[in-house]
Amino acid sequence: MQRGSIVATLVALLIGLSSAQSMAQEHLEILQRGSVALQFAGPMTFGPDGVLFVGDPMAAKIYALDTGDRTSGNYGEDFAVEMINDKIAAALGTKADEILINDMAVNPISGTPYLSVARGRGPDGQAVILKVAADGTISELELKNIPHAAAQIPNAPDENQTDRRGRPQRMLAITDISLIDNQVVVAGLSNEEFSSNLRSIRYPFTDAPEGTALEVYHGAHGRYETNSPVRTFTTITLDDEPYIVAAYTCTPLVRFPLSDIAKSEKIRGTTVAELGNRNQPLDMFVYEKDGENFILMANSSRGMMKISTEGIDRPDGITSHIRGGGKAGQTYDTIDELNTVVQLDRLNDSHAMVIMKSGESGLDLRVVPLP
Amino acid sequence: MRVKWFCVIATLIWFSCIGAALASLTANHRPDEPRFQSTRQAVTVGNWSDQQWNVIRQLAEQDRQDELLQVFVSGNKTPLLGTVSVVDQQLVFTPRFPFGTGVAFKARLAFDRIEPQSRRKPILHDFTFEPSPTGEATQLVAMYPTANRVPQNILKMYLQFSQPMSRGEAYDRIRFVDDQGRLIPEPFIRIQPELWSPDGRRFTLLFDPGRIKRELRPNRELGPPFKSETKYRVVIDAAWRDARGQPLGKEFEKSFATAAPDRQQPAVARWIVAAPAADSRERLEVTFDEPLDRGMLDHALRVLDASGNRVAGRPRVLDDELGWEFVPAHPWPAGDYRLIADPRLEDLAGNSLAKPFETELGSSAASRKPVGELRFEVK
Repeated sequence: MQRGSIVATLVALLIGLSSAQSMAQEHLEILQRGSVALQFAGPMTFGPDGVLFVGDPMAAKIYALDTGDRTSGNYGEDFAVEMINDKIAAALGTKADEILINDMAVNPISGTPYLSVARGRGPDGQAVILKVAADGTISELELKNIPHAAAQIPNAPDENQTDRRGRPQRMLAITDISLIDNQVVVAGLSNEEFSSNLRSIRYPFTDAPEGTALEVYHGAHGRYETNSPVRTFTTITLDDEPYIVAAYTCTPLVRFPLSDIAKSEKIRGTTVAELGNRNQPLDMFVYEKDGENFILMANSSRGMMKISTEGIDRPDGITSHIRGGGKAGQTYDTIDELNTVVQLDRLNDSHAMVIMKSGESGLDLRVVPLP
Repeated sequence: MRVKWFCVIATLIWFSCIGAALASLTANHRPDEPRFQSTRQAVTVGNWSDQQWNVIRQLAEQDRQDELLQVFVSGNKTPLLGTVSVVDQQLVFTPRFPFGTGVAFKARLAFDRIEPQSRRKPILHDFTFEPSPTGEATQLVAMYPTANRVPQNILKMYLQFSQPMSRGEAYDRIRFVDDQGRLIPEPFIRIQPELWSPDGRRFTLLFDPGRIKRELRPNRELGPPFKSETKYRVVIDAAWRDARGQPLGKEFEKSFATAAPDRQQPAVARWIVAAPAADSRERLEVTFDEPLDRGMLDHALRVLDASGNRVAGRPRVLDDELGWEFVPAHPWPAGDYRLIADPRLEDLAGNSLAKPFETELGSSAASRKPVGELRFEVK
């Protein structure tokens, strides 16, 4: 992995050196002020200094947006905005069944939750990024004159891939993005071919951003080798080496070294768990509790999993059947009170921000303690 | 004289009655009463007295005009995002997005900020914009694969609609039943985001890869989504809404039967080319070795001449996705040509020209190099 000067900048910021302030400004000065016209506001993640990364699958682009949100906020354990979907719909002048909340990202500096939203469910729906203040007030992240940069997603569908009427049909649906070291890593799947590409783009973006598309295979008990799209992923450090832990649409949890991400080729990950059928992983992150690391993972139908990382570094992963439907690989507890969570992000070392289902069609935004 | 005084008094009473009546009639439209006007783009409030306008102007100079006018979706306490401005003696609320149709709105003017001494409650103004006529109902125009016999390990299905559809409800609108009418529980995955084409007309449904792939836990626990040699129906719910919010209005369905699983890659070498005659605009016809992915066939094949230039023309996918034809824009010059296929092109079970859907470790298939080129001669 190439580690440029910006990595040093970010490390300096993280460990709080006295020169951090001027370096941070340098990092932000790369962003150009101007208007950003999102076609679709998809998955989001925060980088350092309040920079928000947003995936726009319609434009096949990743935007880095300077939110300017760099003061600590006050989101306590009692923070809750009930029926956030109704309130967002009202703020956008429409009905709750006409909006879609695509993702939520929490600014680690201020704790402010940012929501990527579509107003209108058709292809002409308007993209908007909203933030929710500690008093519950909903406002918009203004995109008309915002410091920003953009990068094309590598190996994304191009406009020549049209049907016979000339309409573009192929699209990369982005499922997750994350800034890891100096790489924006993008997971997604095509609406046509079945593949497992993790794309990565160096940040800060350059005029011609470098990017790679990595194909990650995983085994099925030593007999078959296959790949499928990654739904969500996180990073974990094992023996001082950073790893990516990726959750696949076909349920395995797979580990591979982060250094592999710069390879533009096929690699093979190690399956460390299989998490059960009729389920899709939604969001995940690693946290520490009582001196141990856990992965917190929200799922579409199997609730919130608190996954142990004990032994996650074993060399061979899962190599044999678990008879009788037992859990394979990493063990986990299901956190019943969080089983309706549909959006999850870390707030701080002790709490998460979630959007969870409430009643028939409601969604609540709230802070919950890490289990 | 008395009569004269009587007439004067009666006339005065008559005029005062008329005056009182007129005053009561115009009570709601006093000269200084704010007047609301609403369009899809803005709500304006005008008809201010000089004194009132002075107060508004002073508040605007302090950038506090937002305190005066808010708009809500009726029954909701969260105000609409938008801006308040003062233009041409009018207070103007411009919503972030134009007011939608079929939604009841309520504008709220804080009159006591403009005339504190009045202690008047906020003035409310209700307005709605009627939806425009919706036109023809959206149709499901095709379901791919077209063939009514598919491999048991079919990986995906495309639904093609006549108009753009609404996102967010697809997985609740598609169900599969067997020939006894029994529901097949969730043979597909509920992947979010839903897989729509950019124009919102084509939906891609992925069957559960964890159940299709041998040896993965869902496959061992539940088996594959479909059995071999079995009849099924896919049923599309009439309530599925299009982008205008209108339901399809009628149910659509398609029957199909499953064959054995397909674990073979398609191979260009087995395709058959019927080459056209030189100097004609005859069609080039290619017959595949098996049905291929309808979505990818729209752009996965191209024809190059001997110099490597792309030949312009009109392609068409043939019945049951078993072939492809190409009518050139200009007559074919005699010579050598190549048909180039995207190595990602898949069959119905996700085996592509480049790789099989899953590989048994150590098998030769894993190391086979894809061939995506077929040569033919026009003479």
